[in-house]
Amino acid sequence: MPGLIYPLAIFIALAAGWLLMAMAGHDAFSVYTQAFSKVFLSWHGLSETLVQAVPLGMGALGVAMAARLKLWNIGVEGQFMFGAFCATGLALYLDTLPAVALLPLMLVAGFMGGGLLAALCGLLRARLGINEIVTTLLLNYVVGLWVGYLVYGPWQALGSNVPETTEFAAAAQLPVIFPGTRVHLGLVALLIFAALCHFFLNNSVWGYRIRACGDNPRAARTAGIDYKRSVLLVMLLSGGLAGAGGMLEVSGAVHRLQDGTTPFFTMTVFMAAWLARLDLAGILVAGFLLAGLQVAGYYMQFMGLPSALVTVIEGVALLSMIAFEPLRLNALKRAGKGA
Amino acid sequence: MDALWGLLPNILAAGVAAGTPVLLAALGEIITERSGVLNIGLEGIMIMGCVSAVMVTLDLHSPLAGLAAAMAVGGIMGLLHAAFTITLKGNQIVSGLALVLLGSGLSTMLGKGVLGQPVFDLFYPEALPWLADLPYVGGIFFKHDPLTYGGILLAPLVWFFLQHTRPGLLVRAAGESPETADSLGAPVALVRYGAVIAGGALAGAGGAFLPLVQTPSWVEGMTSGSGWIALAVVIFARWDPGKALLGAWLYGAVQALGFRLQAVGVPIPSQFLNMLPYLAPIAVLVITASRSRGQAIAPRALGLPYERESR
Repeated sequence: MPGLIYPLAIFIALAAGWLLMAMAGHDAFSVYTQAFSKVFLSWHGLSETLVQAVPLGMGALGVAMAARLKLWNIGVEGQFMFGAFCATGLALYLDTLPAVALLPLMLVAGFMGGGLLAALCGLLRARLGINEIVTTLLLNYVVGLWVGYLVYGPWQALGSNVPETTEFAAAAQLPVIFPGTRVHLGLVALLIFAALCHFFLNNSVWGYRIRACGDNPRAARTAGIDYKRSVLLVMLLSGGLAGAGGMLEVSGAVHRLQDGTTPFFTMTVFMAAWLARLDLAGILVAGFLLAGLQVAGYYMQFMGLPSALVTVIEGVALLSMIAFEPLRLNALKRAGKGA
Repeated sequence: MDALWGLLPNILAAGVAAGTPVLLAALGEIITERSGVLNIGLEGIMIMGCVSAVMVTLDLHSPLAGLAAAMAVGGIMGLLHAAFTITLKGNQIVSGLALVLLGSGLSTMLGKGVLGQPVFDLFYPEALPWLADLPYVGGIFFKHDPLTYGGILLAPLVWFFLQHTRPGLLVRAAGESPETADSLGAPVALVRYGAVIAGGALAGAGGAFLPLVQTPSWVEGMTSGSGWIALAVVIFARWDPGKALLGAWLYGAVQALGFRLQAVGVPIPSQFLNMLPYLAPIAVLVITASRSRGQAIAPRALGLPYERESR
């Protein structure tokens, strides 16, 4: 049973969290049951999970896109924020446009902003052989400081001492799709982006080329596929997905640009992509589950537990997944032989 | 501008010290990567080094004990990475990211009790007799804390170890051609374990520098990217300890320059000055890479798990 490792990894991660809570003197059982029922068995929890799933899903699609070419884009957080910044610029300065014009423009701006930032790293990788792990990651800090400069400086809402812009005009806000909740049109956009990625990677010539390059760059080069151009394109799309995610988040959920994004966004997103083994439908499921974990984290904070607990649980789950990988491969091999 | 020139020795001196955490982590990573294992979890190991150094130093009133604890914790995290990537042959990048997650989360939880508590037992700067009186260089290189001296001494030692000792040769063999090393009877897995654990311990020591020298207390996320910069320094240095020294000083000097400019009240927003330490490594990689036309000289088996059956 190769699939068995998923529940096993989750079990170990929860056990580690249990241990930490027990050490801090908390009743772990009641924390877990309360968090679970609040997140997955209540309308409010479920709808908040769907809201959180949008940025996570978009980031995970971006990671998976780059991973198809064996590239490691760990700058999705920076690209996400840069996309949010570009979209915010339009929301603040073109606020007289009607929503039908403004929202698509913001989405394009977010996509291109995040995409170009990642493509820059792709260019350095393709032209100069500079490792994309380091460049994409370092840019996270640069973009974070840039957004910090804006929301503490020129873009700060007038008369406010909170580091954020003023609330977007109604035309720059994505509409809510389930009345009474915060679930917004971004959820639909996420599903469309996932479908587009699926089509692009599996049914288009470019997708075929990218997979060929990822599996065997040398063979692909011999077959006349331009590896450097593939790297550029993939990084553009990868960062673009993250940047579009940033636009969906500011326009759909937050309605303003704020200082300080989700901590460990990159790592969580990476986990979603890795858990799903880059399978796009799996990414949506993993993104939903991890979003649930994040919402559970908010509830746990209300119960007086540190939010870092969720980070630890995620880290342990990721490590367990790696540890069980040989088990899964063995099971797969055996299943293959039996068939 | 004249005022800035006057500050130059001051900035360089501060840079030599500020580069120490990155230098220690980068030297460790050079040993790790030379053995064929990539550990991108430095950021997580360093932050655990910070928090363990603070906790133990507050408890035992000895910075040396704090340093030892940070190195032990770093070594354990290295061991974890080694077990996951060498024995279980897991993906090295994912395991490294998991270390970052784990380190960030655990350090925040463990550090709750000591958050903001001032640490009094620190490594203080000590001027070296005679050398500190040398004109110009004396002030830049010889008026530092013991950890900074240690890092500077360690660079040639690591170089000597890798190039001129038998264990060092084994490390390089494991990273260049594990098949050959194995066929000659070298214990590849054991060598890699040793290298990854040593690398983790050094990253832990780099983390300990921050609370025990620079900012004498525990602050959440106080490494602020040093681990990632150390990775950039390793690439810039082309896995050569001597050049890592140069890279770390360059980073330190850029960081110190940013702080000084802020202190003098230059009319540039602080955020832009704070970007310098993150932009500088990218700029330096671009400049050095375009000169050598992208001829990377990474250890040949870097990132690849070694499987005997596949020989």
